[in-house]
Amino acid sequence: MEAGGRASLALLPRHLELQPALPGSTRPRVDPARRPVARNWLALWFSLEVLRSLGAKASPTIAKRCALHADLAYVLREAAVRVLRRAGDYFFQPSTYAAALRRLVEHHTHEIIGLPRDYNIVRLLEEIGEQDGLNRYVAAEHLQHVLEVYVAGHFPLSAKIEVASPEDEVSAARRACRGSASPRRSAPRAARPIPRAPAASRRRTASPRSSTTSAPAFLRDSIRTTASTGTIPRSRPACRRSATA
Amino acid sequence: MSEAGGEVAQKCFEDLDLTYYTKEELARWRAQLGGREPNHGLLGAWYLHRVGLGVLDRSADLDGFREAQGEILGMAVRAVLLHGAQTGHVSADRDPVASMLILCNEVFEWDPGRHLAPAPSSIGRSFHVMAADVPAREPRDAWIKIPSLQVTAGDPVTGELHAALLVDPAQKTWPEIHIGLQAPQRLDVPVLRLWLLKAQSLGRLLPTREGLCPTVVMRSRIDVTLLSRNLTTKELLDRVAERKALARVRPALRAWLGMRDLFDEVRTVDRNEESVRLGPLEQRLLFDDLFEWLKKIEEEAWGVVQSIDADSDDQPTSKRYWG
Repeated sequence: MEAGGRASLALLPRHLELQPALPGSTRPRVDPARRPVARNWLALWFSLEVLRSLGAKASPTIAKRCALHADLAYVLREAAVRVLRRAGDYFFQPSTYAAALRRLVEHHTHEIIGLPRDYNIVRLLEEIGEQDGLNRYVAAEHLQHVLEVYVAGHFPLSAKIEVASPEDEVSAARRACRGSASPRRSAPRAARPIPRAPAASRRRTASPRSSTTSAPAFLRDSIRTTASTGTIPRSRPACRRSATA
Repeated sequence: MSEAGGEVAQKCFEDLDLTYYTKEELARWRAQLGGREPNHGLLGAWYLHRVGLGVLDRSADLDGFREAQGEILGMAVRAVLLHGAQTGHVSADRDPVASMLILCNEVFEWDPGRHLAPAPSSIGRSFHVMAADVPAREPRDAWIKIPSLQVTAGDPVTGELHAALLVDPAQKTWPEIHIGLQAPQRLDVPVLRLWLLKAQSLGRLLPTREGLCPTVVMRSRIDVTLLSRNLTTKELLDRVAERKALARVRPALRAWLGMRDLFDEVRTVDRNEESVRLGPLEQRLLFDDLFEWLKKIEEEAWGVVQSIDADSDDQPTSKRYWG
């Protein structure tokens, strides 16, 4: 498991970067049937988060640690199968997948977010997934939805918000004119000329630094401007505040 | 049953007291959260409130732990309530968690009425036991993209992944999320329902002063059922808005449909695509009783299609999902 974990740690971020199902252009570059799926991409990102946290705290029992590793491996395998389209004799089992993802969410809430264990997320998710006679909907679908929303809701909190400063616009335009836009970061900006801001929005963004002051509390710490920092901040202070979302 | 449901809803409201909302908000939400029976937003909020209070009671108050947890609990309960209320504006400044929940709930949607629930198995009711009866859920979207989002791999030893959301100061609101719907023939509801439902839900979100407020651009192929009648979803809605039964929502519908920059379509020989931009809306454009009106609008849409067929010599090709 450890060797596999190390390999996954090295390869997963690279895969997420090279197969950006959620980020990037809307223009399809590949056959729609082979296009990576955003949900799958988010599940891989979430698995990476859990994988990175393993070993940070001592797990209470070996059995719990093994169960978590097994479910993490299952979610990763399912995602890999979908990416590689290795159908063969493979059957997708929604309930097993939901159960595995449920354990990752439980680990995430308590071990990474730090929600008190008294909230008993396991029991809460079990109740959501139970098919009560009074339910008029498929409870397992509700559970899948809750898990999806949990994962999708946490992803933006891991992203840093970069507000382009006027200098960035000028330099992006210059690079576009020279046809020498640097790869990765500046490419999308250079490809799409940035229109001049209307008067109201120019006032709003006149001071990039001030844009952090009245942001929602849960985003305040993560908003930076490219002018003020130059790099993307790495810390993730916002997550704790939205633990119960 | 209806009376009993109403009593449960009343009990939920009493327990929640006015801790998580104002009197004005309660007056606005009451009909939707707990009219004849409590909806899942009200029940979920009540459950979380009860569990949260128990946790706070049992916790030692070290370094302001209780106050911090109480604040988080308040945001979470209010978010669950707000996502079920389906009415009134939600400010990301005041309710950041609720805004995020409403957004995720629309982008990664789940329609409780989509599939009939299987009966609990004779050997148990957990989803694991009922595995054989649980179908794979096919989402209504084919793809989801955030164009201004970029990710780069970091240190391979620690498995870092850096994600950055690039904000163009010229944009009034950000970020933009693009959704491509499945082909209309694979959808279980008409595209117009998804347009209206998401427009109304996302229209509730108010931008912050920095412009933080998601805009969802939803694209789809034009339904052949409409194309065969020389219609697009927008044109169908234009006609639907004039129907007598929709007099009460007509001003809101007309005003929304009149915002031409929200709608786009491409009609060529090999590609028929339409899109709609869904972002913040003024209060006057929001429906009071969203699901009731959605049902009526769908009925009227089918009425429009039937009237076109009645005026035409051609026989209707298919009824599809309307009616």
